[in-house]
Amino acid sequence: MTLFRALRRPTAAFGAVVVVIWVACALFAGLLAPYDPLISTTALVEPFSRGPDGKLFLLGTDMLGRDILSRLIFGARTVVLWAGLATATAYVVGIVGGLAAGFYRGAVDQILSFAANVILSFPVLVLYILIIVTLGSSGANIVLAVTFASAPAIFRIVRALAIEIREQDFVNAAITQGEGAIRIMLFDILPNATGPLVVDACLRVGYTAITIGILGFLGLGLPPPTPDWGTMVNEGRAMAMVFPYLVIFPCLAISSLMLGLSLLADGLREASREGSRA
Amino acid sequence: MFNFTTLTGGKPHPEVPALAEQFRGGQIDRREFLRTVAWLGVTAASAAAFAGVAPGAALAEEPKMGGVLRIAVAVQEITDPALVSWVEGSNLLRNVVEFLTKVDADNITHPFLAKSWEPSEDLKVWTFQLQPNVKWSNGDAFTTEDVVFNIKRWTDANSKSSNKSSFAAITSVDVKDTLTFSITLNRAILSIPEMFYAYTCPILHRDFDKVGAPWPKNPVGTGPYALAEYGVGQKAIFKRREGYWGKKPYLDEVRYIDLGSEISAHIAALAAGQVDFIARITANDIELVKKLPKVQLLTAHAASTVCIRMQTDQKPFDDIRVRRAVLLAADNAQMVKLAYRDLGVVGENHHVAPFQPEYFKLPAVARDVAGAKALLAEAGYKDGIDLTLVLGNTQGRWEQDTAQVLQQNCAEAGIRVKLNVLPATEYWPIWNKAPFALTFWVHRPLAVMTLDLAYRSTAAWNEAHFKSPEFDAALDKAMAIVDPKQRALAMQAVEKIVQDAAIMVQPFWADKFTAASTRVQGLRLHPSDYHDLTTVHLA
Repeated sequence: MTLFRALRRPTAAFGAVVVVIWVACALFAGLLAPYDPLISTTALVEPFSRGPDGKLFLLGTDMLGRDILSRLIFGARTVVLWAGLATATAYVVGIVGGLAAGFYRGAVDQILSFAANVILSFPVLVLYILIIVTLGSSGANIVLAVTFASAPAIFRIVRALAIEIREQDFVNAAITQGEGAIRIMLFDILPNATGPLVVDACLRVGYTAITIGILGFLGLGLPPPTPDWGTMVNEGRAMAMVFPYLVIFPCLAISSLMLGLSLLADGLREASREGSRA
Repeated sequence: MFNFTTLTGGKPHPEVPALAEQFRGGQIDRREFLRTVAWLGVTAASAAAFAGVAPGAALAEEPKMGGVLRIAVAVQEITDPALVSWVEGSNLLRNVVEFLTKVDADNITHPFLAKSWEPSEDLKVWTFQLQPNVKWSNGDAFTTEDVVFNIKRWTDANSKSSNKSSFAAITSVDVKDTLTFSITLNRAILSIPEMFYAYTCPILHRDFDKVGAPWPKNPVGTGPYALAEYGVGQKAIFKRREGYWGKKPYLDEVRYIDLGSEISAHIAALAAGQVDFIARITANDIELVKKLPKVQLLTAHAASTVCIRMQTDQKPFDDIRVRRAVLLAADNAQMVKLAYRDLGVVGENHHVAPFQPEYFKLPAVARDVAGAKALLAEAGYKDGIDLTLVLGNTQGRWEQDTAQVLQQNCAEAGIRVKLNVLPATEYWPIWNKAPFALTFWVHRPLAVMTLDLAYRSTAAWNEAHFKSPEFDAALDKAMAIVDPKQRALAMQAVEKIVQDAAIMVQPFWADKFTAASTRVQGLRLHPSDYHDLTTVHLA
């Protein structure tokens, strides 16, 4: 319901459309991309131009002659898949820890909160770089890095919500009825915490997409030749002064996804507030 | 009959008249003639007069003295100058320490600390005469004692220098007097004078080991500048010193500034006037540099290359069929076109460049994807094979671009290549350890110098672990022949052995480029990346 309410807002609807377009690109990349994103043809064909073989390249080709549009479409798969997976994993870890700390309090809370604070005290980017440089660059390691760096923040949100909800009458009633702790956490506390978490998740997927872009830009993204928007910016940057389209299009892709997710998150937040007022 | 004068004033080597005849008959070109007679001790002026080369035009006006030249380059830790493994480090040293000979940007060898040299007829005994009146920066006289100290240090059983294999043929070093010494070889080598200009051959003071490394704490040299400041990763400052034995350099000071490894940052610093000269740009930067005002682009053809080599004793590369499959799948022409903007010459997988004097043109080997698949199937990889290629982009992103094109090429043959891209600083410690790796090799004027260093069975830098007595013998034979035509014929066997052994994809020869402010005059880009700043002045 909250989603439908949110989509009534033009900005949120616009955000949702952008996100859906990129998700569709990720899901149907093979059908949508005009060319194979890994195959070289003619290098540095300008946007909206044809190569010597007559092929039209809407967004041009990169320095290795690969179609930029196809790489962006396949790059969406990289971003959506890994950003989504990494955020989901971070959420699982953050929710489990946050529920446990908020419900049990005491020593469990103190230990988990201390660990979360220690991790949060590191600059996030430094953490990412340390993990990727140590373990090597791969999708799984990006998930691990994002989980490690993001889970503590999610933990804190869930913990705060859990502490608040834990004091509600219906939770005390469930405890009095002798329901198990896990059941209470999953079926009584968590459903009542979803509103703020959905908004946060929406934003966090966007941050993770940017993080993957930053890692790619720093040369720590997925190994080549995987199409990855951040890596595309990095690859094109040496020639950006002369061939600016090499970096403009992947930058626009990153920005549009982030903008879409932010607008959607704003809409959800507003809709959620309206829902609670109603 | 033309009377050639030699550096020693003595009779020219018996091969010199034959070379002169070959040049007259058009069998060898001018450059080849000048280069070969220079090794044999003929003076540059005399050789040039015979070959009809106009003497260098006098400068319109005397260059301005003074000024500070600021160079953007990595300022690395230098422990022992004989162990420097990056050209950048050697360029810093070059201001203070000098070499026995000097090879110019045209690959002609000239006297330097050695005033003259004379080979025996069989090219096995080389006698060198040192420059008189050369003083070290600490006031000591430069003598044969210094040279002997260095040569023995390089060739000592415990030496870690790559010179150990380069000069393995030296059996004795004999001192005649304080300025004359000779080296005796166990086989004939023609290129000895040129080999003394390798960047691993700076001549250190005879007491260097008494103080020891690191070099910045022990910077005694014969060169025109003295080290004033050295901060690893920051800057290095060299100031002109009084009492230099050679021609006084124009610059007061040379300042190296470490701006990190990002070439774009170097270009930005050049454009902003924060530095006057940057050590290197890549093919991807050329279009940008051409558009910058008051910046000159310097270019040179060079036998610099990347070798995507496979270690012959490591699985699965111990099976020659796998190695041949990789070579057959590789499209070298596409690699130079896409990864190096077509600014190079296609390589033939034997590490001898068409513009090196010893080159022999072997029949072209066509790309054969079906053949590669068949070889893989025969080797037991019917469903293709997974390989991991390690690289470090040590010279720029084009190394990775090259690897990506190879990756595409190999995929067509069922060879799935995963790229493991390391930071450059992490690559060098493992460059000769990974079974499948891409390594940049700097230009050397002679192919035999590289082959001797990288492919001889006992070579220190034999990163492919290639062992072939047949190759060693063929190389020995080629290195001993004076006549360039005959030498090229002997090189046929050398190149064929390397190519047939399929130890590397050597996709192309990379031209060199760099950029400097237009106020920097007298600077020529050396194909080996050696910076001779003694001729540089500021407008």
